[in-house]
Amino acid sequence: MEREDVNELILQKVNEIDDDQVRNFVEDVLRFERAELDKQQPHYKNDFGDYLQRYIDDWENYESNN
Amino acid sequence: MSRLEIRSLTLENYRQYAGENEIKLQTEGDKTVNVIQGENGAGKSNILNAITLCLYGKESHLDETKDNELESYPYVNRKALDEVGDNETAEGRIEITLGEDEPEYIFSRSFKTVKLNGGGFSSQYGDLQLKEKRGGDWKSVEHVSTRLNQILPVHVHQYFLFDGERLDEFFGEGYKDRVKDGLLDVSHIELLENGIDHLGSFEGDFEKELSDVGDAAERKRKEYENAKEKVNNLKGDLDQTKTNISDTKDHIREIDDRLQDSADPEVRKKQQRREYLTERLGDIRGDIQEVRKEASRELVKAGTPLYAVQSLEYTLSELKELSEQGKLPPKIQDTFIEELLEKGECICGEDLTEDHREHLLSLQQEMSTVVETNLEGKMAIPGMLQDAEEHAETLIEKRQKLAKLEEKERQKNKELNEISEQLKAHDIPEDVDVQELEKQRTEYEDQLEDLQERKGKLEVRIEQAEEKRDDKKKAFNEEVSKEEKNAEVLKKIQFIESSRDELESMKDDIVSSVREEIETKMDEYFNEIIWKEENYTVSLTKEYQVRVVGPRNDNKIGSLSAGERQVLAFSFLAALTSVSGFNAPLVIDTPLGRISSTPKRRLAQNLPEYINDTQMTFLMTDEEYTDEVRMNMKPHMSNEYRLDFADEVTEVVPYE
Amino acid sequence: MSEQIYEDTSPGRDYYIQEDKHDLYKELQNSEESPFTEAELNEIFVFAVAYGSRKAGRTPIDGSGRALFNRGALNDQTFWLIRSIAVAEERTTDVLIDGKQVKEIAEEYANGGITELHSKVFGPGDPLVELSDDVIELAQEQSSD
Repeated sequence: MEREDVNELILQKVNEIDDDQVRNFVEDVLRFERAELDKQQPHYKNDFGDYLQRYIDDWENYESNN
Repeated sequence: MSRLEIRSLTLENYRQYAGENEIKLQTEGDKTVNVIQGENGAGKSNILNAITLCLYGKESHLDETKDNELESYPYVNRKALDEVGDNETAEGRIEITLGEDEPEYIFSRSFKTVKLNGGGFSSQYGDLQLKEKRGGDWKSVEHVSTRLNQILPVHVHQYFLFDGERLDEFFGEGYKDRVKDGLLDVSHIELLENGIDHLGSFEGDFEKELSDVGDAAERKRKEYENAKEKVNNLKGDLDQTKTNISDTKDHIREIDDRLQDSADPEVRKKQQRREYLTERLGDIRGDIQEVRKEASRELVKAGTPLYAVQSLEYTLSELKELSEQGKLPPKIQDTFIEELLEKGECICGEDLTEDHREHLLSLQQEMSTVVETNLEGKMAIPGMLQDAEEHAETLIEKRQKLAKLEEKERQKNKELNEISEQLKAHDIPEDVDVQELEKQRTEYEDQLEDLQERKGKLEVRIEQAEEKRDDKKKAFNEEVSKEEKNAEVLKKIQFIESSRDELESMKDDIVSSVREEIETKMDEYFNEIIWKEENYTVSLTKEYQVRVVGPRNDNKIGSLSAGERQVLAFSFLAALTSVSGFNAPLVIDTPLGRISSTPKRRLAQNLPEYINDTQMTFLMTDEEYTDEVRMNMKPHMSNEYRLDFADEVTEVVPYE
Repeated sequence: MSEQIYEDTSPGRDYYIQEDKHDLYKELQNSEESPFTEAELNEIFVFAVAYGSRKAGRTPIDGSGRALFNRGALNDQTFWLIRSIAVAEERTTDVLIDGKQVKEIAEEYANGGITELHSKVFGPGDPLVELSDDVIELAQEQSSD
């Protein structure tokens, strides 16, 4: 059996995120959190850094503040 | 979809179970139900205890009953203990095999009991072990609890493995917290919260990277850091306050329990009455909040035109006058003028003279937007005033309703105070010092009130501090973005921030949709199972209040019978498990205990359908497992066992 | 007929409040004690216009204004309320030609009204009870006319 995945509900909401890069990043972050759920102090910064690198270059920086 | 099942449960020398007893529980197709029938003393409840002892290190049935007998009951079976001498140890174990289509996990925990010299026993249990099947081989797993948490986390397990008889207590006092916890647990909100926290810290690292652009930016950074710290401090305070609130509530509950145990029936009666009143008071307060909201809505709708009534009436009279003077004919339209010109008639009814004709034509031309809209005014304003009157009437109704509710609140409070005073004056000496306890209780209640006020204030301050922090952040970013080399880092920060914002809004959405879904399912299941002619509406508010509205009454959790409350709790748990997205098996001890015949039959019939695709193992007494129930369950049943208890030993036997 | 001649003007799209009174609006919308927690900002504004016309006075906006909402948020009835305030202020319907002035009059009544309303809500007493008593009385006076 595969590692348990992020809750369906949450994945549904994630799919509703318009911005492609943000959506993918958020998905990576949540999968990480799911896997590390039990750990008190997961070492997330390295992994987050990796995820960030995947998407940041393609991300359009919108100045809008709504 | 394959479901995760308990494929077998092995009890070796555990309590009534001597030697090795393997109970096969895997199910086939849509026959998702297992039944094990036996009496309580025969070890029925210990089957559930065995599962929770193995997986979570505790026996749920034991925690909740103060059954002293069971406490001194050693883990290891008596017969096995008979075979060892004084100061010697006997051992046993519990093993649970889980899997979908084939065995995939074997959880096991062993325990031992020392036979003490004086005739007593001392038991302890070992660590949870796990073997997992990977690629055809069984491998030992190191981080067992992590793995277990991915399958059935500790804080969710009580919704899957539970004692039916405790169910009606679920909706007793303090249920809102239980409901809220359940909801948040199955929404898996902590994932989002962890993500939000971690991203925040991650973002913080980048913020430190921003190289300074001189004093102006550094100043702004300092301000921003200070604002951030303030928010964190306040949040720390809030967490502490919440913990204190929870502790104080626990203290009060402890005292309540002890008062319940008083030898004096009067004291017990008063304590029970108090618990009933407190629950009702909670409901009434919820209703008051609701009615206040409704009244507020009417206030806004009625107040707006009514405060302006003088202006409205003046304007209306002006418009009417203009209309009468012929400057604003009632319903003049282009087409109307056309008709008049054709007919050769003037508005005043006289024949069209040249002057009249010219007048009409110029009217037509002057038809500006202002004139048209002035015509609307003559109609809009009376409409507004009429609406205002109606809203004011509704407002009056709401105020009256509010007054009644507040009176009820006062009454209940008064009675509660009286009970407290009476208990404080109680001076019959007994093993429970009622006077002292009551004094303590009052102190705790006062403390609780203060803490809750503090909590409210902190929440407001946190909101304000967060707004200030966001402003400071913006200001800082503005300064910093003036320097080119910071552009890249800023971009990352903004990306992370956008992601965090998404997570925040997802959180709210999810809690809200989960609540709605649970509400819908609860309503459906409750009505199905209860099966009375009347239709009940079960609702779950944002404040986690559960309201059951029948045709004769209004929000009467308090006046549901024990059986009805049990059904309600069942409906809630069924709703939770179906919404939870956890694909875990259910094990329920005494599911039908206090439920009367019709709902019992319907539960037996319908439960497998409500919670479809989930393995359900029911541990039932003879009284529950009637022929009728058996007949209703048969179509869904895969395994059926009986517990044969003789000579202090239980054997698990197939039913027939 | 008034002596004043009104210029034909169109009002801007946004409705303005005094910059430093934005917090008052937010507090009225967010605080648990307030009866306005379910109201939109434009609804609170219009309530303040009405309230101001009765309980406060016309207070010019000090400093630069801050846009609170735009005209799209208002419906026909609300427009008529705002117009009525202007008509009653100038004692003539002629003022309706001057859209800018109509809006300004409303904004100034809201400016006075919001401060008064905020004190009422956050002052002593139960604002729901006091304001609704007020409004009920007004309704009863109205229907007896």
